[in-house]
Amino acid sequence: MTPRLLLIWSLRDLKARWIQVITISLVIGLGIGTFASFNSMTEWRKASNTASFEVTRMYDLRVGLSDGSFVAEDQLTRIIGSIPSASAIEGVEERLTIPTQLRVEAVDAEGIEQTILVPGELIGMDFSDPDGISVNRVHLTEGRELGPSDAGQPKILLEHKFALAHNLPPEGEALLAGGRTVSYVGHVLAPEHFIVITEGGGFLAHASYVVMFSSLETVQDTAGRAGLVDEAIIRISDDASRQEVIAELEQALSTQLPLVGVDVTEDIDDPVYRSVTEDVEGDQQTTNIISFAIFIGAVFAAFNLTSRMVETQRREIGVAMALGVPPRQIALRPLIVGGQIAVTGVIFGLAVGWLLAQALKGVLNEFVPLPIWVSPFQYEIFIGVTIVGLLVLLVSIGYPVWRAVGVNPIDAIRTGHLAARGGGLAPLMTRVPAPGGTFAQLPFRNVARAPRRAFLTIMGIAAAVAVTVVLVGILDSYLETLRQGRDELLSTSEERLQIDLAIPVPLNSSVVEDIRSASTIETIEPGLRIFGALSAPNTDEEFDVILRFIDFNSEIWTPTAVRGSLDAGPLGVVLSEKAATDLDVDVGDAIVLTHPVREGLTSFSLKDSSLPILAIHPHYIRNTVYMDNSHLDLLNVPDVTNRITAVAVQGAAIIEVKEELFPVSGVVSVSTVAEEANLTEELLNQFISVMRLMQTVPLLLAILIAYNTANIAMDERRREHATMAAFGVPYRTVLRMAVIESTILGALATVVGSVLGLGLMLYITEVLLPRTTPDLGLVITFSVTSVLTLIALGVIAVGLAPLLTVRRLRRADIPSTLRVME
Amino acid sequence: MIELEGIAKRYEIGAITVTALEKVSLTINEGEFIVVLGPSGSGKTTLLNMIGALDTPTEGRVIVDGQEVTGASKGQLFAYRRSKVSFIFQSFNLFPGLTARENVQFGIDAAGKRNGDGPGAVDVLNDVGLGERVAHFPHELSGGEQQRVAIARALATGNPVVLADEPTGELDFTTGAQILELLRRQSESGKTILVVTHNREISRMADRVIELSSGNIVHDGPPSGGRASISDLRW
Repeated sequence: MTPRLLLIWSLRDLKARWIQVITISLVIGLGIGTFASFNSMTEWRKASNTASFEVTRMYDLRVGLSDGSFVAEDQLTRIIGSIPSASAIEGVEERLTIPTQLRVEAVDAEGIEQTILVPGELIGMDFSDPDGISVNRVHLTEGRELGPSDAGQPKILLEHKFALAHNLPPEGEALLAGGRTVSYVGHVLAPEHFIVITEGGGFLAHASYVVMFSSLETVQDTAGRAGLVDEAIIRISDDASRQEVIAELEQALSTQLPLVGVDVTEDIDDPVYRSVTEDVEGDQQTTNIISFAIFIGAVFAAFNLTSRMVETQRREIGVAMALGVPPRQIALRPLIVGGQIAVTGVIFGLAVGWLLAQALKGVLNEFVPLPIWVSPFQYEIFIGVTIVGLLVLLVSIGYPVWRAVGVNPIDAIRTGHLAARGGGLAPLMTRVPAPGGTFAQLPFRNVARAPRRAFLTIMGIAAAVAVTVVLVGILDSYLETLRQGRDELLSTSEERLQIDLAIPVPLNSSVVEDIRSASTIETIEPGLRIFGALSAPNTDEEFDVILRFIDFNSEIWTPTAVRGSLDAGPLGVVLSEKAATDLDVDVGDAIVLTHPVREGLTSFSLKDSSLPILAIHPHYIRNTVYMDNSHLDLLNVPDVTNRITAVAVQGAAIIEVKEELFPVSGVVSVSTVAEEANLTEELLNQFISVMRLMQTVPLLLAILIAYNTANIAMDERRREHATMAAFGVPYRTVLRMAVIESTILGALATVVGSVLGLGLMLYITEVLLPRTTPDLGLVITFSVTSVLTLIALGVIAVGLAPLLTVRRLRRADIPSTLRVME
Repeated sequence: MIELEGIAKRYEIGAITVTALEKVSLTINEGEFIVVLGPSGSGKTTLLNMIGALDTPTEGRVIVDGQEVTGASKGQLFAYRRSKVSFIFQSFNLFPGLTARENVQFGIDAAGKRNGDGPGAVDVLNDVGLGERVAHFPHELSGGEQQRVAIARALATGNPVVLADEPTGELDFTTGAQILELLRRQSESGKTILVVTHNREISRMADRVIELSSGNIVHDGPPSGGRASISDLRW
């Protein structure tokens, strides 16, 4: 046989089954495309992150003073320059960051004018160096950058995503808290704010929390802290030992600033840097699982479908054997068909991969816009997955061919009853008492007749179901976690206000009095919010916390005690359930709280206190720790406040309260607790859109597998269907049987897929997610809607797939089919 | 009674028109054992398909019990096949996932009969001599046994007309003779039996032989030389 004839013959084979060929190719394409695009995305993110952090010269080390502490300008630079490894220091920048508010007039996309009034922070940096900032540069996206002539001037730069969210022009006027007018002259991206996180931990808060940059002098002047800074950021050479430099810095700082709490941290400790870089690793593991499951599902399906295609050539293979054609030559034709399907599948895979990658890239770029986004085509990934796809197809073609050439030619050539094969597991089914006549029994028997085939079909669909379980399970768990968190925060006083002050102030200070006497404020309850860390004697776990001093006897709001009780009397803390679990402690146990202790007017040191746990609260974020106001002396700051809980007078709108308190010097944020919860929900809506996009892949895969299975089954059963038609069995009855058979497969696949999916989901939520989001105490949940979605996907969509073949059934040539001798 | 009036069937294959049946007219009476004889391509299966309403004629009419089948809707044709005719195929066409009893039960279910309306599946299998093989699947039965199951399935419908297309085509002489004997008995009990075959020897046992050649009836009458008994047949 000439190669040309082989090729023409194989092309005719393809043409004869073009629908099945296209469907198998699509299944392979989905598997290859999903795997390749998800993995390409990981590579693009890694490359883009590295490039973006490099171009903005993200710091390596940060020397931060404890809350409320300041030192004179250049003091930190001198200390840093005094360490033995000073030659490894490539750059040092001193900064002062202050909390504030911004009031700006904006015109939204629909042309409606509105006043934006949001909390935020103003970062003072040295823009005077003509070579630019040596550490943590800003990347200009609109307008102009600040220069030496802007030192001390009321000129600021706005964070890019905030400006974008509110459709702000590159230049304009705005007001800072206290009523100071500033001009914004440009929009910028900054490495610590590629994702905007609020001081309170609000994630992706770019629309409701503004980050601003100005000259160090301007910020010092605005804060009334002339000549003071509160941090220094450092870049060191690549070959320097970080740990050595950190140790030397800690030594130098403790010696030269003995009364000031100082923390030396690395870039990886920065929540944004960690989130952006570690998320890639965490996401990669999750997407690897999802894309691998989809790929495996496609492999099972492709194996099943191509095997069945080859089996239809059983007689032709037998005839070739009878004519003495060598097995290797016999195998060529089906292998060429397999190769052609594989090539079509790879082409589809490239298309699917490209489309998915574009969609994912778009979503990701919206989430985290980076100064540099690189997305080179990932040849290695595509080639790797393509080779695997080709091999799988060749094996799936080769295996049935090998089986076919392994029998005696006569066994393959035989027709009619002599070709009848065993009934698989069907004989076992006769022992199962089942109701209904033969029409009801046939679908079950058909499934049992070919157990290997049924297994492959079930596993293909099960993989799609498993991916769906993972996706909807994660989504449900997030939603339930947020719902419980929202219920906890909004349980008793949904409209209560949280007013943040720039610095802790005495309760009798003018700012507190101004708030108390505001016409829109009904009552206030002062409290204190300060940063600390939590650890326990029995574990190595240690994490940062926000320590909140509140009134445990408050009539406005207190956290719920799920265990223990909120007792204002004894000294102790109230922890979240997640924190208690991570530290392996419970009510009555002792934890170690690292907290600031006031040493002087502008200096705090850090101290470890062993405190008993009074109660456990249910909020999902582990790092909120509550103590009663009566124990403020622990910090050596009795009767001070920096966060006031308030209730507005009846009928006063939140914007009225904001407007009234905006001019009050020292107020940096006014918001309702509901606003914070809504912020999280906005974030979740974006997350949901990504999940929905990802959910379409397994849905499509399941439908394709089910459709092709139904299509091939229709082909294989055409004689049975013709016999039924000859006996006057209506098409609807035949279709009903096909639907029941498909539903059985779908139901079994749903059960298998659900079990696999639950296992994968638990692995992702219990093992992978805690590595990247350790602060989140996810409540693992599966909603009724999700269960119904799965049933709809696995049972109904798969079950109804045979309906798509109704046209073929109706157009079948019954007399010819009955005469066919196979 | 089945009447065929000027039935013709032509197929268009590209530019060529192939005539399978050329204006065939005949009447089939109740209880007749008819053998439709002819070489391959003579139109005998096409004739059987017209009577069984599996195919529609290009022209002419098929009238069964005074009602015209030719112009009936698809639903009516299905109903006709459920209530009037039953098929026996050369390669049996049993359902491999069902046992012998269940395959016969399928015939009862397809005809829309309730259990107790007529003989049950096991009774019919007993009648065809397969009482011991009711729980066997088709692949566990010999060719002759499978064909007997197929006959039992056709009989179990209770339909008055049985159409058998080369029912002995895949069987050896002894088994084939047994099958013919079985069909012969059915006609004696009142059923109309039409057997399509190319085997002239088989036609010797018929009440009536309709011989076709190139789509035309060339002979319609008793077998030449008179009806022979099964034991006289040889092939």
